[in-house]
Formats: sequence, C-alpha cells, structure tokens
Amino acid sequence: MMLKKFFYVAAIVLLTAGLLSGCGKSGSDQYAAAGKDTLVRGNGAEPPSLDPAIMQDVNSAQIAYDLYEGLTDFNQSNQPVPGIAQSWDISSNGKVYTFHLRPNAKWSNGEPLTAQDFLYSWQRTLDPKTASPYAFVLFPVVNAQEINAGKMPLSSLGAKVIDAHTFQVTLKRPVSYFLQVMTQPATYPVYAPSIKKYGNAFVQPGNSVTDGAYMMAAWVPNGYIDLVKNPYYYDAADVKIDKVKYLPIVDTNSELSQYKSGAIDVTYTVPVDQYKQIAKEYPTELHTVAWTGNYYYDFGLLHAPFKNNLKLRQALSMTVDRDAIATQVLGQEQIPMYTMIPSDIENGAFSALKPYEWQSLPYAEKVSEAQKLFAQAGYSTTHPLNVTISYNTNDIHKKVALAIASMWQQAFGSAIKVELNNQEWSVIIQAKNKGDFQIMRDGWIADFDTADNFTELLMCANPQNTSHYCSPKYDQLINEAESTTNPAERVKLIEQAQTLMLNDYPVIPLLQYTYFRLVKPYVKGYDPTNNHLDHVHSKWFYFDYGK
Amino acid sequence: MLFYILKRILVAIPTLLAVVIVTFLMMHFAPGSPFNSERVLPPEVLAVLNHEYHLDKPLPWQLGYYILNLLHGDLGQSYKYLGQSVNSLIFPQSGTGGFWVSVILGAWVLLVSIVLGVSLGMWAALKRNSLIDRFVTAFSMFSISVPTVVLAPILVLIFAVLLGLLPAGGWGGDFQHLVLPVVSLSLGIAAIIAQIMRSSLIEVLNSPFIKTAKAKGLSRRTIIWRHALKPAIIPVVSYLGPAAAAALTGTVIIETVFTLPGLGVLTVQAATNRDYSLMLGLTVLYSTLLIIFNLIVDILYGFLDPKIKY
Repeated sequence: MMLKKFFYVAAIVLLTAGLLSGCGKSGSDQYAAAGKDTLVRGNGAEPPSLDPAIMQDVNSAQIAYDLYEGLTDFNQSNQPVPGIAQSWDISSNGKVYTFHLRPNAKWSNGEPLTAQDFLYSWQRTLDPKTASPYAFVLFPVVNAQEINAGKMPLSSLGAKVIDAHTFQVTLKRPVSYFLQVMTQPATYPVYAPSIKKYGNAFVQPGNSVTDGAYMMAAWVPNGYIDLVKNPYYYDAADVKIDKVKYLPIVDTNSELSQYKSGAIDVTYTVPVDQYKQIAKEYPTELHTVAWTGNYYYDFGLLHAPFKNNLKLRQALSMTVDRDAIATQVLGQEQIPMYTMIPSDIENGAFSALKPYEWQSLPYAEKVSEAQKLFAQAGYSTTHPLNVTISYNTNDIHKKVALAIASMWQQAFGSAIKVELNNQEWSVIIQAKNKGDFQIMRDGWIADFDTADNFTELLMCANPQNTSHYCSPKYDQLINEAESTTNPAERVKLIEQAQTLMLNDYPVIPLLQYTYFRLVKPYVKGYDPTNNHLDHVHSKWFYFDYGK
Repeated sequence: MLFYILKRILVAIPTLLAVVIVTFLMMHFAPGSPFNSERVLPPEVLAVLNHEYHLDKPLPWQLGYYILNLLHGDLGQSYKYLGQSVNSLIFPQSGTGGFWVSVILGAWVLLVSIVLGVSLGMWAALKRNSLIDRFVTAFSMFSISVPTVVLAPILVLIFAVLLGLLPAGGWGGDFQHLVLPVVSLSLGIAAIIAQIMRSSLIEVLNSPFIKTAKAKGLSRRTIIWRHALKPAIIPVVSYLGPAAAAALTGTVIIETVFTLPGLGVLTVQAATNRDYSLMLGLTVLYSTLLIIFNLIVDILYGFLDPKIKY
C-alpha cells in the first residue's frame, strides 16, 4: 500500500516536472519570435552620471558610447577609426594633430556640430570647476594639466579652431595612443546651449542633445534607460536597431532569469558561481573574452613586515600557485599572470615577457626555494609571521584570498598565520590610498589599448600606486619609453622596467581578468572575440531570426 | 480628537529632528567618503567637490544648513548621482520610479495581504480545529518561514522562466509586472495577519459579551459581523501601521530580485555609496511615513475600540 502511494506521488511529480520543462521552450521563445525593434541590454548598475566629463565607471560609459561620439570612434577590436572627424593629419614630430570634421556632422536636434563644440567641451572637462575625474586623459595636450590645476586660463589650452570643420591639437610630447584618447567620454562634445540652460540637468530626457548613434528618450533611475535612434547621426542609415533599453540590474541571478525568460537580449555578465553550468547549457550564447585588466596583490611597503624585506615578499609571491587559482579556484578562463601587463594589450606585444627566473619551475621547487627565503627573512615556527589580506567584500576576492592563505599555510606551516579582512568598498579605498594595510587586493582595467595604463601604476607619484613603491630607475625607464617614437625601443624599455620593478616585489601579479556575457542567438553583428577592452556600441547590432 | 491629532503632530517634530541629527552624524562618522572612487581624484578636483557639497565646513554648520533646507522641502543634491537632486530621485517628476513605484507596489501589497489575511484568519477561527483551520495554519507557517529571498526567485523560475507567463522583472507600470512582486511580498504579511486575526477572533468569540449576545438569541451572522469583528480586528490594525510603512518604503530584496526602481534599492545604494544627502532624505521620508501611519492607526483605534476615547 505504502509503495503504491509512493508511485502515485512520484508519477505526479515527474508529470509536473515534464509539463513545466515542456512549457519552458515555448516560454522563452515567445519574445524571440516577435519582430522586435528594441535591443535590451543589461547594464550592471545604475549609471551614476551621464555627463561625459563626470562619468568614470563602465555602467555610465556603456551608455555614453551610444549617446556620444568623439573625434575618433572605435571598432570591435578597440582600434580607432574615423568618428566625427573623417580624417586627420599628424605632424612628423607626432605632436600636432589636425582633425577634419565631417561637414554633415550634426547634433541630435539637427544643429551643426563644429570644431568650436570640441574646444568648448575640452575646456569644460579641464575646468577645475567641472571637477572631472577623467580630465587627466587630456593631459598630453599643451597646458591641459596646468589648466586643470587652476594655474592657467582655459584659453591657454593647446587646441584651436582653424575653421568650423578643422580642429587642431598640440601635444606636449608624442603619445602613441592619442587617437584612442579621442574615443574616451571625457573628450566627447557636449551641447553648450543645453548646459547653459539646464546646468547639471542637461543629460536628462528632454534636455539632452547628443551626437552619437542614439539619443536619450527616457530615464527612470534604477528602472531603465531608453535610447532611440538619432536621425541626424551621419551614419544613421547603417544603424539597424531603432531602440535600445538599458536595465541597471545589480543582481546577476535576476539578470540571468530575465535573460532566460527572453526579456534581455545581451547580459552585462553572468553569476560567477553558475558559470560552468551556464557554459554547459548555453555554449553558443555565452561569450568569454580576455579582458585587458589585471588582478594583483599589493604589499604595504610603508609598514612592517614588508617594508625593507625583499626576501619575505619574494617568498610569498613564489608560493602563490597562479594556475591553480585560475583553473581550480575561479575557472572562468582567467589567465595566470606574472607581470602587470595583460597579454592581450597592444596585440600581444608584451606576452613573451618572463620577469621571474623561478617562473617556470615546478610548484614543489618554487616552494622549497621560497621556504629558504622565508627562513632567511627571519621567520620560523618560533617567530611566526602574522599577516592580513584585505579585500573589498566580494565572493571572488574571498575565494582567491582563502586559496592564497591556504597555499601559504601549506608552504610555511605554523611559521605563518594568515588573517582575512574584508571591508566594504568605500572603506577599502581609504585604506588603499593611505597605504594602511599589509596585503591588499587590487586590480586595474585599461582605458586604452596601451601598456602605459599599467606601467604608470607603479610610478612614484602615481596616486594609484597602492603599495607605495618608488624606484627612480623604474620611473626613468618608463619616462624614456613614453617619450621615444621608436616602437621597438619602447617595448624593450618597458620590458626592462617591468623586470626591474617585479624583482623588487612590490606586488604579486595573479590573473588577467575575463569578462563573460550571454547574447541571444538572434542578436547578430556583435563579435567580442578581439574586444579586450569591452567597449561596445549598440549600433553594431542587428536582429536576425534566420527563419 | 482634533486636539489629540494636533498634539501628536507637535510631538512628531522633535522626533523627526532627532532622527535627522542621529542619521546625519552616523553617516558622517562611518569610515569612507562619498567621493572615494577606484581612480584617486586629484586634490584640486576633490577640493572643488568638497566645497560644492559644503564638506569643507564644520559639521554643525553642515547639519544646520541641511535642516534649514529641509524646512523648505529641499533634500539637497545627491553625492553619487551627480547632477540629480535627492528630491528628483525620490519623487521623480516623470511620475515613474522612486516613491511612486513604492506607493503603487505598497498599496497593492497592503490590499492583497489585508483581504487575504483577514479572510483566512476569520475562516480558520470560525472553523476552529477543522481541516480548514489546519490548512490555514500550515499556509501561514509556510509563508512566514519561507523568506522572500527564497520565495521570489522560485516564483520567477516557475512563472517567468519555465512557463513564460509573467515578466521576470522590470517595471512596466502595467498589471503583469506587478503580479510576482506583489504575491511574493503579500504572502508573508498575509500570513502574519491571518495568525493575528485567527487568535484574536477566537479570543473575542469566547468573551462574555458574545455569550450574552448568544443568550439573547442573536443569529450567528449578526454576532460575528456586528459584534465580534470590530474588536477582533484591533490587533491587526496595530500591526498594519509599521507594515504599511515598510511596504511603502520598499523592500530591498523584492526590488533587487525584480529590478524595480523603488525606494529600497535607493536606500541600499545610498548607504554603500556614502550618499549622505540621499540617505538622510530617505530616512526622513521613512520616519515621516512611520509617524503618519502610527497616527492613523491610533485614530482608527478610537473608532474600533469603545474603551479608547481621545
């Protein structure tokens, strides 16, 4: 009798499950089948600002790439291509750029877009009153840095309007990636009449006038941002999707549900803990791309025990098994790192760099070598090392810190005691800036496709230099590399500088980040394979249901 | 009565003031600053920002300035959402988002949970110890013990992902987008109301005046509807005060799971971003609502309970 009852229950459960999963297909396809005119993209979070001079995070920039366009634009491999400027001349010394603007370039209200608009916008970005956090991207321009510091007038900027469609910029020194700088939001043109009339509210729907492929239609904070195609965009004929909707979904599980239910076409990311499952379930829809960003640990060089203790820092760095962290601990195809420069930057120019002699030793040998250094550094079971790893509260950071703590525990036994200390973001940043920590989780994502993003991090005066490392020799090499016009020479100098710095062990390079997102099969035109910066335009996309 | 309401409003003012001062100080003493960002800001930029937001002034000055603006209904500028005022974030002019979302959501949640909770509670009390009573008790226990953080994703999985009947999230302003959030939020509140209603009605039904009514030969229907219901609902009403304030100011989990642009998400972001002015604005709003709803509850007591006179 009991057995019979059990079978009944089992049959009902199975039937229900079958019905539910059967319905699943029709459920998620119902949106796909419809002739859509709106591309729905996950945006990760609410953009804190849509003012190009103020924005400093990906959640804002992602939308700005659709709303605005600079003198140059970027393609799917992050290379600069003609934007509002259809061509440009670069002087032989690499310092004077003359941009020729498209005669048909217009604002989204139909007004002509001229060189004067760029001059106004750049001066606005550099004006100390604007308080732009990204003004530094324009610092290569003559007097830009002095203007931003309030030491010189706006009119002294090394940029001038030759005529309505010609804009000339003079640089302090040749900058190899200057055309890429023009693709940055801080250099985008903003519409002066709107700013004069509405002040800070010039970005709001109704007030917003922009020059990109799309324009602002609606903005409900934390709800959605709707963009519509800009009919005055010079290339409007090639923009295929009429509307773009950005959803600021913070919760990745919620984003995944909405993707599965067909409400989102392109996600911002996927829940890390479900990555493997998703890769299995949606092998063609999940795209994983190496990101030009690094993940590393800083040693706090201002305080004991790491101040003046090179051997200790080396011992700890050697015993971190980067491969195990990339493949076993995380497993989202992250790339183990031994330098600060991601392998994909500048087309892999620095991927051959091997700064550490011990780098290719088997892990066991690294450990025995490190144990000797650790003992020489003065630590033993009778005099153990107490060390704290600080990180901002986050599952990935916790996993990595736990793994590294256990690697050190295994390598040095009771001679080391590792403590983990997680704090919220705002608190961690304060500790980083002050150098008030022992070991700090850190990371950096490139703004441009150039190694300079990473080499500058460890220069003495860089505010981003968390470990507070300072080597005049390193600074000198980097300065030389940045001023040379010979590309091969530059690579050599940077490699030399990296090797020098890394063997001083101010940091433990760990991983190169990857980014991953789901894209519906009917969404075409987007190819992230070589998009290592993850800068995306909605104008690339189109729908194809392949009937 | 009028005098009583006036007195309550006068008492509310120092309460609100205390809330503002405590929140203001707590926010400022928490480590971290609203202008901390991954990329270190140049000192010149930081100085401009600090000046613009009056952070370079002494703390008592800042507090006084804030209260003065508050009296004019100005909640200040957001520190994180640069260029947006706190008023426009909480009460968007477009009529969608912020408080308006929370009002629509909260009103539905209250309506559904009161109707569901009161009727289930009554039903269970009247059919005491029957199968129905057990079912209601089981349902209540289930709804109270399953937190929304579990319930909401399960509902999404079944009704949005598998069946494709309802949207998995987002705010469309239409009925479809409301169903899942309202159901996920209402079940828990309805369950508590059902429990309160059940035990209170049982107690009332056992009281001497009901026995008198029975002895007088009144019909069961008259006894329940005319005599028992009014006193039995008093405990429910007192629970509704804070419940209504909570439902209106948004619930963080529901808003996160369903990506609703209400006040709950704003509150969390304000706290983590050290958005002093937004946090203060939300706290003032929440406290005001709490005071108003408690006042309404107290006034309702006067109508429901003959023992209370103002």
